[in-house]
Amino acid sequence: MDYINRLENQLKEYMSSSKENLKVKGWYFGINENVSIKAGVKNNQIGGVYSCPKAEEGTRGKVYVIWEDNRRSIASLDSSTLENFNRLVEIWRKSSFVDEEAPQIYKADVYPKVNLFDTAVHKLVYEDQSYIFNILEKYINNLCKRGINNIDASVSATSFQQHIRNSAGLQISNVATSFSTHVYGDEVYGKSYLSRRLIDDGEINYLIDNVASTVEGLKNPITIEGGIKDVLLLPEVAESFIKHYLISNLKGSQVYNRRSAFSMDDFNNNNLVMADHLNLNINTTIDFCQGAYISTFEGVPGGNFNFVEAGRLKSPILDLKYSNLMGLSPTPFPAGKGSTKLYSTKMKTYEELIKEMKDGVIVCDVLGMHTQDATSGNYSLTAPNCIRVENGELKEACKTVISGNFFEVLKQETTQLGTAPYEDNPCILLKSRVTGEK
Amino acid sequence: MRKYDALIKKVIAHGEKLDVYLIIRIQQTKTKYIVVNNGKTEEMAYNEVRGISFQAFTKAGGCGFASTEKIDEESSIKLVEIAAGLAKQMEKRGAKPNREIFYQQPLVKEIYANIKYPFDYLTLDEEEKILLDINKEVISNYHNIALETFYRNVLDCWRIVRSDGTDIIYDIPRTIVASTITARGDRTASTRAALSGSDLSLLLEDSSKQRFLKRTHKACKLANDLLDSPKIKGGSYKIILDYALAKGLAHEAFGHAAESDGMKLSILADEKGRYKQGEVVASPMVSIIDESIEGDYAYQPYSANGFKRNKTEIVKHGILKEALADIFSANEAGVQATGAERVESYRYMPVPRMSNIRIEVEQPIPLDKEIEDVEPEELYQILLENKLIKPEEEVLYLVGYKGGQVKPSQGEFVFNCSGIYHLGKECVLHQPAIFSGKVLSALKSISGAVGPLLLDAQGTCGKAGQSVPSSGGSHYFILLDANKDVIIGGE
Repeated sequence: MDYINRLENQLKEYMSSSKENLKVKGWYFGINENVSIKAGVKNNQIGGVYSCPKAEEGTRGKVYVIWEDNRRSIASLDSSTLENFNRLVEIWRKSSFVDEEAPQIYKADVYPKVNLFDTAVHKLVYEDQSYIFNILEKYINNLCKRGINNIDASVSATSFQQHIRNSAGLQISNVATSFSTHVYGDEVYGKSYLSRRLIDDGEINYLIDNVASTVEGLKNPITIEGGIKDVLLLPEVAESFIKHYLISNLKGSQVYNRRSAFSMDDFNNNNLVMADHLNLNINTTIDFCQGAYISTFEGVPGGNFNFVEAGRLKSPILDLKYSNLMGLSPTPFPAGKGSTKLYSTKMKTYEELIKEMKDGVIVCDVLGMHTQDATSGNYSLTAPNCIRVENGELKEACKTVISGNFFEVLKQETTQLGTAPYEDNPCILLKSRVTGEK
Repeated sequence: MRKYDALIKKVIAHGEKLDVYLIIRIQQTKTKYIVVNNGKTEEMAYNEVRGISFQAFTKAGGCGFASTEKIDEESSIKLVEIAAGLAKQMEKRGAKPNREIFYQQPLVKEIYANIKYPFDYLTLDEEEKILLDINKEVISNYHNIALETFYRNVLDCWRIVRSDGTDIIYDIPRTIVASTITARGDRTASTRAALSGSDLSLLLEDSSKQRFLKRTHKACKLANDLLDSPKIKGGSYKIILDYALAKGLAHEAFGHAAESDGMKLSILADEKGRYKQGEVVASPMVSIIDESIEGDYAYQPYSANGFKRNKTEIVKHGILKEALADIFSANEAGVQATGAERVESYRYMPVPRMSNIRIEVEQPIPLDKEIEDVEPEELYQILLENKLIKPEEEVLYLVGYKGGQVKPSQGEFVFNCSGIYHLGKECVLHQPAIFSGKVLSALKSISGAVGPLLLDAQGTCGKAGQSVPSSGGSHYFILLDANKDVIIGGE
């Protein structure tokens, strides 16, 4: 806290008139002080030279300054900021810019109560790290028994102190934790867990079982005939589609600057962009969700908001600048796993979706999502690990290329969502062109 | 960096007391960036960050790592103790030991990149004005184009010190200016243009600035043309790749598979995890080389473990020759270490990576003009005249690299382009589609090249949760014969 108070006081000093052209009119900053521990498995071995245990302590954040002449500065903060403060203020001033549309400092608001801290994760960081190695050993022992030849994995735990302050009197300080793990079998298929809460035995067993059974199902691939087929995107794949094609096009800066698939008119007219049973929600107030937060650094409270409701656009994702420019309220931001949800009023289960597939494939992963043009909605993706489904039954492994337009897919009545246990994201069943590959 | 002499001495001595060998990495980075959107500055900033990390090795080869951005004695001693404790814990838990670091020769070197324009040559205000002018000049030519112009100038300074007396200081200056273009009509299309290097020459030298403008205008035209272009039919075709896509082929199809830390499962290794040196993987006219080049965006003169980075001939005249290797996995892979290890920042542990990777093809068709001035129709005529294609052949010309991905264990790679021209007397543009192939057969399809080498195809390479600058290229154009294992994933 000493660092935070001193930083706040230093900034307040620059609000006095004696500072002349360095006089500050307003400011906000956000800081995370974190301590973390991570360990890994590479090629079935715990803690080799590429996956050895790793400890980190750090202080990182961002400061935003409004100068007396209304110029703006953005800069990063770390633990050395205070010792160089006067020199850095001059640098910040020199790197300031004119942004006539930038907002003023946000007045303190009502903030949500959300639990971001798990004592068990904190203890893992500061006291006994054995559990990290126990999980890694469990992955190796269980997956080797299930016929997996090569296991890569990691476990990571972090404990944070988070602070947000601004010149309008906002003072938020809270503790938070983060726990993540991933396990990958035979470099073919992997699963991960990411939360502010420690993983439990049921969740570990699910990861192990899912990896073992999926890798087994992906052995001995065949070549399939192409055509328009049922395609089931597993939750991780569905999540990558949602992030790449929906979230990126919903960002207010993209919409306002005409760099999105959606125009401002699309939002003003609440245009239909999906089937009317589909909704896209961001909720940053779910206890222990990795994407949960109390406030953005700007001071905007976390919240729960439908960006697409009954298939219609409601609002872009808006920070203060773009909420002012577009005359709308600022919104919650997608801040990590679990906060963004595509859901349907006709939600089915994973098993029900499989049963509905007459001739199709389950897509376990895709290569090249980051290379796709998100604004066009077009996708052309290699899916090296698929499982063929015939009349609701899982058959052989296969490799495909899937192609189409995701925006069109979301409008089709044939597109359905399904829930799966232990998963934050839905599976998506859609019709898509599929090309079989060798 | 010299101001840390006393600290380093104390830390090394403390490591000796704890009976561990240390690799200390200190990083100090200055970064300037500017983002301009449609004629207005969106954001600009100047930042300084620094930090230190300690990688500890017990005599038996146990390893632990700790990092902090506080470069002072108290934090350093505490973090060395944590790293040493973790290394000892690993030894007790029977982790895979690695003692290679104990057999290396010490090296002392201080080297600074030779650049024309130092990092602070212009103020950020002056740089902002140049960016705004460029952005406004471009958008004034189009009614339906949104343009983001991005500029970043980084001065990355490193000091790598080891317990054996190694002390390496070097800096890596890098600069990029890029345009992201979004065209809107009934549909939307996005393209990108970039120019990268080490310093402000990109914006201050007229030839560079004109080249960037030419690339940006070409990308704007492409985005507009894509608005009403059809989709390509998927399948295997004879293919022409531009130099940036050829870099993608080298990087994704071969570079990653040749990294020694992944050799145990790489398609380029045998069942014992040893590199298949001597295996024929391409036509004898083809070589693939990775080389750190001064002035290049991905320049890396010394490795993150304090070894000189060597030029690596991954494929020489069609034969697999060298791997991108560090000392920790070179022996197991049966190759020589080449100093290939890199890190995103002091917070990470190094892994073998590419720097600037290129495909060289013997006896390319000469072409005496800039690549930006070569239109698809002209390229088609050059290919016909030189009998690289036949008039009746179906040939696709892929332009504009948009990134890629590889699974070295499965031998699968993909990369994507910005657009595809169906070559002919009248060339027809089609939507981009994924280009996928098998590592072991893709290079065998290369059958020719046009133009001189051009190696400034900039990118960011992701591996092991770390992103590092990458670059590379080839001749202006390379030709791939139709191959059932190399697919364009269209309709």
